[in-house]
Amino acid sequence: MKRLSIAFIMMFAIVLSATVVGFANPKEEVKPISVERVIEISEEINVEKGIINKPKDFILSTVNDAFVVSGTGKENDKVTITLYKRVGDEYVLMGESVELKIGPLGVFTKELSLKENDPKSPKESVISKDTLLVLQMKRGDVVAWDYRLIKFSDDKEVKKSLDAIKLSPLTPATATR
Amino acid sequence: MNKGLVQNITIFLLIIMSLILLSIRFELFITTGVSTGSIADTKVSLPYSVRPNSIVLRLGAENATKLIDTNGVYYLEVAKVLESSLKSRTALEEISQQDYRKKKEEKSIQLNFEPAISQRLLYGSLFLEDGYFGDFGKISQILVPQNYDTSIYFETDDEKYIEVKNPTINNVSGFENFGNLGQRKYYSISERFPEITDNDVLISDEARLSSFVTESMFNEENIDAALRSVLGSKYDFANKISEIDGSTIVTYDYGREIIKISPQGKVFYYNKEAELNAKRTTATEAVAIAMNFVNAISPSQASYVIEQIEDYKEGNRTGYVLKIARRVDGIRLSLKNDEPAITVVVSNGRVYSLEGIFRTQKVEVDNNLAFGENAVLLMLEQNYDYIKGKEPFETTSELFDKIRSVEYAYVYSSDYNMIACYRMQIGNSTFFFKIENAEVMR
Repeated sequence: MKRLSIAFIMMFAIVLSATVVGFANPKEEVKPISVERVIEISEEINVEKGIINKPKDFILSTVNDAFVVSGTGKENDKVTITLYKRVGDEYVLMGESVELKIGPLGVFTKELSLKENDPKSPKESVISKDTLLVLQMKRGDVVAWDYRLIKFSDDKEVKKSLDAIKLSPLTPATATR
Repeated sequence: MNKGLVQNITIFLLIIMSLILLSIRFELFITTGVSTGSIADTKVSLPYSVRPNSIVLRLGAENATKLIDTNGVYYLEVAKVLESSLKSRTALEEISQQDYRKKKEEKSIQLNFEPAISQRLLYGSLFLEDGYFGDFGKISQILVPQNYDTSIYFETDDEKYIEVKNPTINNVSGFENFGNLGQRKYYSISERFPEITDNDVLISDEARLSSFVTESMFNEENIDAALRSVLGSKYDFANKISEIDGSTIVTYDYGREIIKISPQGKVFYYNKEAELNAKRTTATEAVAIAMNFVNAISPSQASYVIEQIEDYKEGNRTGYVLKIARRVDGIRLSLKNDEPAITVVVSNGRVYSLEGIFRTQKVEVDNNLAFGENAVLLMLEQNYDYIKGKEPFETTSELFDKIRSVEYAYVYSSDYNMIACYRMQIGNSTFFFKIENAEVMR
């Protein structure tokens, strides 16, 4: 009887630990994105403005070395914004992803810098070439949106894009999923 | 000594003494203090005394920044253009909100007046004759284009849009340099969320403004100088009483003129002389007289702005009631109910009464790290239900559409400290949210 009780307790502990592991939410590893994949997406977008796959509900604006991502969702939606830069044949993570939780207003907005901190130099480097932004919105466990928003292929293109934004109001690009 | 000679000397001395007393009574040979003031003295400084809360610089569509005009020097440049445009105006036309917004997409300077100011106050401050140029409410915004457009534009608090036409270009000198001040980019709400609103009110990401623990402007070293600058040489003949609670009361000529200063820096002034001698006073004169007086009584080099001027009438006596708010580093300071902390009544060419709070910063309280970014939206989210209770809305879109202005502000707390806030005009309600923690100040 004693052994049976111990076995029951052990089994209960195993089940319990499995349940705990099941609820744990380890941070997903951010994998590099291949250049081929980005090019594949880029074919769908307005390269002239440096804006890729700009969805209807997400707004992008900038005047200098920073830009703002804004959008709408529902209360408690979670938004993850990740910046990548191109290294060889891959786009690798530029830093920590930014996570936002949408409040009762049902909107989110985030300013991000296009400047990249170079640990070898105390000064900030110029705007990175080939910057890629990935935005993901989760409603519960369901991914509501997952878009690649910008790719700046070179400095000139960035400047052109910035000037265009300075001179005229942004017109929403066609959304593609 | 000859009896007659003694009588003559006595009579002569009595005449001399009575002349001296009469001259004191009717202020013939003594300085009168500043209750009467002079427009000539304020010709240069008056435009500083009626100025906007903030100046928006637009260098193109959706490329805007906001200046906090700390000492009014930027506004002074704009005021010169404003004065000449209003003087030479050829026509006045009401335009649509849509047309007004289109004008705002071009290179321009936008002056934000919160609370809105009357046409008369604007005219008075620019030394134009008492102005009335249309059946519309108070002016909440003035747009001065910096391109080929020769008109200037007004937005009123009753949501009318007025084009004031004039033949010359409104070129504000040094405009291009205004922007070289390291100012932050300001976004319109519609730029962020065009799907749900077309509101062009500008907001910034940051909330960087310190609060202050304050103290009375008056202390043992400066109180006599402040009283003397108000009363002039009459102060030598005045009675001074120190009350148990620390208040100082000075009365001149058996209470004809009274000043009371409390330890908290509250000032009460009354001058019966203004009841006696009828004299017509224009709005411009009233503005000058009130500003002279407030600057004289204020011991520190504080900056004051006149926000309201209303007609005053009591019996046969007429004049003006002026509401004056202090600017702390260019930011408006008010009471919790949004009213300015100083009220002056000018009648018959002099200050009739003043009631106000005069306090100065003692210790700075840093709020800068309270909100990293998106301060305005976070404040709206944190106070969502409170705002909804005061100013009903169904959707966020409706709430955004109702936002009429977002400005930095200082508000006196119940213990008279200066609390850094965002002042938001939403619909017909004014909200103050503390920058420290987004709590409702009012």
